[in-house]
Amino acid sequence: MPSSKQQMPSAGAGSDPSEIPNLRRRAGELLAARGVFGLVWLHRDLTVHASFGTLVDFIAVGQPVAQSLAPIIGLESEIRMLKPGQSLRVPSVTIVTDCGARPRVNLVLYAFEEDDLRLLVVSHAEMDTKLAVELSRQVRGRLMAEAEAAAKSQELARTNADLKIANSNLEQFAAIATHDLKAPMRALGYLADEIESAIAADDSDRARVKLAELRDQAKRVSSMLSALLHYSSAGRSDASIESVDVRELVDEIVRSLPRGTVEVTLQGLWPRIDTLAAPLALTLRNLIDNTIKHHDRGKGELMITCADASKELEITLSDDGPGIAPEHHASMFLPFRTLGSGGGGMGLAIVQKMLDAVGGSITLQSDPALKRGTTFKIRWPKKIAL
Amino acid sequence: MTARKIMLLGEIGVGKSSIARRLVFDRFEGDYKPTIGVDVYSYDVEPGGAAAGDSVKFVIWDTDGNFGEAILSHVYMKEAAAALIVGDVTRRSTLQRMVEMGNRFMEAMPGRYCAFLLNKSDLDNAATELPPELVKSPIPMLRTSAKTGENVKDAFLKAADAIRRRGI
Repeated sequence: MPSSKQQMPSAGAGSDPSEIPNLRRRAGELLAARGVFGLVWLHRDLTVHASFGTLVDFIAVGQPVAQSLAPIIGLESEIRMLKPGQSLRVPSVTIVTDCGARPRVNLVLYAFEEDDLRLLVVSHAEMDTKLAVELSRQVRGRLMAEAEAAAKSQELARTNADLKIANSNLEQFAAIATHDLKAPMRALGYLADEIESAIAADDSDRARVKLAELRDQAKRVSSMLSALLHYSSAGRSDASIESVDVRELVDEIVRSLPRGTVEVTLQGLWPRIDTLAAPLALTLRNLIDNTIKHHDRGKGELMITCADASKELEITLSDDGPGIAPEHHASMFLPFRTLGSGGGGMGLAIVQKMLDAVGGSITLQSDPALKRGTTFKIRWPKKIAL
Repeated sequence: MTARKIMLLGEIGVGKSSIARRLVFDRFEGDYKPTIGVDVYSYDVEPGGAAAGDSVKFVIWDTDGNFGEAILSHVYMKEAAAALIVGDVTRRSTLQRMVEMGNRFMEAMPGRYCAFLLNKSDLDNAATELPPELVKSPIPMLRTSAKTGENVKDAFLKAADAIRRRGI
């Protein structure tokens, strides 16, 4: 009697104890028929001995279970090693085939003492799907929004950095305009005074000479302003990346030079790269022009060497000109700095600005006290972020 | 035919399921259906090309991104031969987590094949600059697009070849 008392609650109050096995079987059959769970008995070699329930009706009896139930692949040795009382649970599995997705199930494998069979219980796991899907959607939405915010903040930081550079350029522009243009403007004022005094003294010859000087000075101011405008727009280009044969580019610049001014020799490895063609051409043209403008002999020699490093091109330009004293090296790349042997003093400033814009660099080696010649080495990055 | 288990890991919403569906059914569905638990696909890798040797059946475990690194100690990972860890090139944080996941996978399952898939490479805002930890990582990477199919099959063929060579 005590044993039947223990069984009573599971069958429901008021049931006839002799009916309980039948009720259990009926309940089991009902749940299995409705696809709430399925049972699969497996031999030790994991072939299917028997199956029960619509949820597992695709599992072929007599065949290895993994053949019908792919998630078992890789778990075979673990299942064989199960000891009585142990179980292996693989939750929330959906098998997807070209016919669509099967219901999401939990797989639990058991081993028993009394025989060598393993029991696989397959139970429906759909109960919490809607909530889980909704939660996942919300998490994904939040992550997407966070990523978007991070991208915007990065863009803002980039804009701020660009603004900082623009401000610094503006300050530099203002400094040049006030400092370097002040002297010729002042000279214009003096010349006007002198012309006035020559006219007052009725000295028309002196007035004519001063007028000619005034015209020259005005021309100089005008060309300085043009150069300044050129400099301020350098590097601020909407150029796009294109494939450039660097050797061909240099050849083209050399072909355009005035005949008999310089003998150019090219050496090294000259690759084809994807880069901003116009800024690279402007940089090389200014460096080559610099050699010609400042050479103190009838015809100069210029050797241009290219080395193809992994992330950048190293282009070296060595000439046999008079050289640049070390004390002038630092100021050579500022606007309107010239050693007075020709040129407007903007060429190297433009080179520096171009290199700054693409993330490159330039070095200068020269000491006339030791030997003639100047060597410029530029490093031009192969990959340019626009 | 031998069968091998291959894991698709990675953050939520990076396109793991889209990659699996592109490989197995050669189709792409734009609407997002999150994976709950794991979806299991089968795919037969024919011999020849990158995957020389016998044909192999891949059982692809497309996992729920909500697990994070906890997936590595989950029963799902038992006897996995390889992991393809997916990141979204439009979301830098997923690439950083992908590298962390790759490092943890190599520690947890040494000798197993692992590769990074930089997915959604077809999108306009795909990153051109990758996180430095990803660039430095010894784990191989491929840019993929489940939408266009770019490199999807290749990624699995490479995994098949590595599994065969390593005798996993």
